[in-house]
Amino acid sequence: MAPERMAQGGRIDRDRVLRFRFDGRGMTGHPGDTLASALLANGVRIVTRSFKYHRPRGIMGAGVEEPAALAALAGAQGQGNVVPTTLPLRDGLEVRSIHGWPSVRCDLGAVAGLVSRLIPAGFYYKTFMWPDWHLFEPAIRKAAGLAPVPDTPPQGRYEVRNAQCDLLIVGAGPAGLMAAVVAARAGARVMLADEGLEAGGSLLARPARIDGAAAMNWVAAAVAELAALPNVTHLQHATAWGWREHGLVMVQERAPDHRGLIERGWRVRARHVICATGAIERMLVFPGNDRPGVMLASAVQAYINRWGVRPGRRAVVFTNNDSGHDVARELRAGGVELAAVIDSRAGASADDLPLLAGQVVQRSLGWRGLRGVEVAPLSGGKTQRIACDLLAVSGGWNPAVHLHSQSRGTLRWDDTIAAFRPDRTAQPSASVGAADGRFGLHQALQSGAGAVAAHLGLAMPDIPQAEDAPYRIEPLWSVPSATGSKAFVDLMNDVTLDDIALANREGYGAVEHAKRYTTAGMALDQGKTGNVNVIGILAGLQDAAPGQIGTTTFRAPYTPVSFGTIAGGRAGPALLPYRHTPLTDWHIAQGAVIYEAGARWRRPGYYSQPGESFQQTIDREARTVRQGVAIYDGAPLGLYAIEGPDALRLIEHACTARYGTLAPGMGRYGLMLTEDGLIFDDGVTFRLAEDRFLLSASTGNADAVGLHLEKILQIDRPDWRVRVVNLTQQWMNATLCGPRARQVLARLTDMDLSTDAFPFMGLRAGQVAGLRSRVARVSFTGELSYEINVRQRDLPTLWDALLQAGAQDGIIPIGSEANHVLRVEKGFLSLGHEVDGTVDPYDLGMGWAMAAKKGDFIGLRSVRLRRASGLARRELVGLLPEDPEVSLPEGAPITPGGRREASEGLVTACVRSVVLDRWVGLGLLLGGHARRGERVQVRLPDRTIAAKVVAPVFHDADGTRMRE
Amino acid sequence: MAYDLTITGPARRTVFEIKGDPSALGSDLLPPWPDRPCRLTRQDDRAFLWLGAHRWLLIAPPDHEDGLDAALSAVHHPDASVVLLSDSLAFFTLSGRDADVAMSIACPLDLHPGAFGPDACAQTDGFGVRALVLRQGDGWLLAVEQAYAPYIAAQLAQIV
Repeated sequence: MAPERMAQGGRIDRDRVLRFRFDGRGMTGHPGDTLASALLANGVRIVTRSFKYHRPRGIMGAGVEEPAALAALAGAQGQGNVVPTTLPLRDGLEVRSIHGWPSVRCDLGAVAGLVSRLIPAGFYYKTFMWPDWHLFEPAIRKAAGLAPVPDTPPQGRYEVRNAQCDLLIVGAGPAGLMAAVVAARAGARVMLADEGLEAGGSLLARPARIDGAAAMNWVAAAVAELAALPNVTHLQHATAWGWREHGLVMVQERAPDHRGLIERGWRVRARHVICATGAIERMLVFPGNDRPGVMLASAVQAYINRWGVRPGRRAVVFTNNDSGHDVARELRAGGVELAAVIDSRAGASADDLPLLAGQVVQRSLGWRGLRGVEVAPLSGGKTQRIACDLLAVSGGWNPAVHLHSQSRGTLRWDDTIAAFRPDRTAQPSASVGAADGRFGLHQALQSGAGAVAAHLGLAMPDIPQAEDAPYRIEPLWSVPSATGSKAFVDLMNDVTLDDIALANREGYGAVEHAKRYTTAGMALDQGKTGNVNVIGILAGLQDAAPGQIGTTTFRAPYTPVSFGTIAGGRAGPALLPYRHTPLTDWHIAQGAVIYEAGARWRRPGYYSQPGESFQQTIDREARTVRQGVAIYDGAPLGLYAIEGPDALRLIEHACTARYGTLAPGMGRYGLMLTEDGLIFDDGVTFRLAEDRFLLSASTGNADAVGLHLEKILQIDRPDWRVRVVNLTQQWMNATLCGPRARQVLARLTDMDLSTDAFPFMGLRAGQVAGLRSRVARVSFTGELSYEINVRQRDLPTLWDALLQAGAQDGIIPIGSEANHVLRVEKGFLSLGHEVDGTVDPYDLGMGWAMAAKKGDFIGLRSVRLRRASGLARRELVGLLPEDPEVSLPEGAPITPGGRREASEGLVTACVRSVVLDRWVGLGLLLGGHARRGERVQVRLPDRTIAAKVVAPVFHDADGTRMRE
Repeated sequence: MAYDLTITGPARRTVFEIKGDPSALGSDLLPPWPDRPCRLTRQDDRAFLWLGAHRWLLIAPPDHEDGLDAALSAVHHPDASVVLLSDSLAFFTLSGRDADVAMSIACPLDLHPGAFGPDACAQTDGFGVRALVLRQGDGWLLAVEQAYAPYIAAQLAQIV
């Protein structure tokens, strides 16, 4: 048996032994142990070194409040910065202490403590700014680091479930269990989530009684009753860590019973939330309050009663409230020698205890562990030393208001309990039990039942019999000797009383400022044991009441949450919701480099051939389109059917061009503008019949265009008789492009492909490769092109047929990179390049797309207003680098004379032209249309590149090739 | 413990989107009208879903497509559109004792029988993309844009 394990007692399975290692030492524990209880049972006092001063730290708490001890797990389930008080002990656990070198017992980093006066809070903001903070940052981070990230990811997977309920009850202590039982019996859909390893809350750690029997009997009966009800979901070891708008509460289930599952996240939508989150004990602020052997009194109580562990042999209790007296009695009952109870309240009394009323611990004594305490009257006077190896400290209790506050509920200061408690709710909820400042057991049961009864409109049920222990407190924010010493208010971040005073002196006295200045309340424990002490200290410094100081904002997460619990199954091939065309697998099999090309579509970028460089591949693909024939997977192109008597009206309202003059079977290019007259999208619209149209949209904007049209119909023009149906994934196209496209297509169809019968911008229906098809004669390359649309299921068949039909002409597939080259050579706009949300049609030299002979349309007024202002605009230009072998980085600024001053434009695209055999670019340049022939400078961080301004088209300026 | 879950798909079904006024189509082609949005009716293996404002969906087995297409394509009415969309949606079925669990991972909607009955349907969120959800037998039918089918299949494979 481990040396500090008591002979009996505790809620552990003594019949089974778990073996684990800490810093290489073999140790044992039992099922029911946490890592912390097992370490204490094995006599481990130093678990880690502190964040800043490398001070030795041991276990101080027994749950999520743990402010000092962290550890790292090695092996398959490696994890850094584990809180030992919340980790269930497992067989084979490999645990390492952190932040000590060569060991936590003898850490050279402790030298930081010797120069602590030189490194107060915020020192690095003041002393490491010159010449550059980043010069010092690595060394400072290394000195102040925590556990490293494990080398390998955890083995297993994560999952996130959604859940809905009438009542979410957070906490399975007496108040939460009582609430759950009442709600479940009434038939409500109940979800009960509790962060503990088992239900019971505070009852697990103290010998309370309910209905004349051990309180845990009542807990067991309640849990069994809930388990038998189909309307209850009960999660243990599951922390509600965040509460968002509309009743969304996030829960982290740490040990789900499911094969391969590491953790499970829950996104719970609750109609009503009961916060039964209990209360957290505060530390007291005195010199050396961080020494291993100093613990929260409630933790000492838990280790004795729940885990059968003796945290020390000779104890002193230091308290400012009645709860410390109970712990003193239980220490004695557990076989620990009780040396003294130091109570800062002058009027405190307890005949059965060795009480020193009106006295405080001046400082702790010892080096790596507690050896004793120095005690003196609070009002000043003679000190005395008391030998001890355990100091149980109680600074009073804070209701755990975190969730309530995250929901935007307000708090109020209550002098009777010297703590903040919930005030007004912001979402449907109630706080009960200790979370509402009702620390008595009967109060907890009554408030839990009462809150549910009130919410569900039930009569108040019978409440089990239980006693309310007295709770009186006189707040003590720090002892008189704390100033000028290592009296910690936040152990996780090594923030001392002096740091808070410094922040106040330097003008950071507001509680939110003090937090940022000192880092008090940050990191893993989020200041659960120290935040209210900070507020009390600031109140003292500012001669104000704590309620006037207020609290910092409680933010999620309440406890540390793994990324996996948030991400769930979003990993590997399911990381992002990519869209695939029916040809994606074919592209991959051909060696195409695949990447996202707008709206989550995965498309081929280019098809590398062995021995080719990237540029050679792009050149080959682009040149094939200019000289021969190629095919392009156009499946993602947006496509909408627009039907009804008002179809024309809708299209002319949404687009810039005029479509009323279109004959059926013909299409026209147009732009869509935003209300402020900027280009939103472009595409060709075909007329199928008098009242039927097909509107194409760019791949990246297809979804947005659909929403835009629906918004017009559902909100702006609900009286219009027109319907819009998304055909994007019903009909998909393979684009045949290049001078030989006609002769390839002719092998697969009996359509008349002559220019007279099937002119540019025509649309024809027929059979291609035996498939029902619609063929559009449009071009994004500047060459003769046919977009052959078939049903999604038929696209692979069409694709194969085109490749076979074009084999004798050397047909090849091309990717998005070559497509980009071809567009730039023609000066065709690209979304995200030339269309960047700042340009209107005139800026791009496309005023011709603004129909003059039709009525109003979206964006027209704004364009006219802008034009009327006469202000210079950034306009589309072509750019020819003076050195034809030099490319212009896309996005690079153009500045006057290449000087370091405000830019006058930018490079929007630059490609190596296969028709000019040189680099060519497009750009937006202030007053660009009138500056052709000028020399401009593209400014890079280390040089400038000269370029000549030319017309934004480098190939077939009059468009003969795509029309012929 | 593993989930008791069987997943099939992605598969294609016959799907027609009906927009506007469905009364223009005549009653003999469609199952009875659902009485309110987010409800469906079934008849002869066909389901008729009222998805939202002026929007219905007819879902039928794959071999119904030609017959329905011939009948519905002939309909030309100024206030109704019927568009074949069988290729647009990929259907997955989820069955087994833990099908509800899998759906709770896929979908944030409240699918409890008390909130989402056998005649309920919804266009909602499935693994972060737009999805159509309805009950089928003791399990579920989940339909997404066919382009998302590989992504949804990968998500479902992780659950199994």
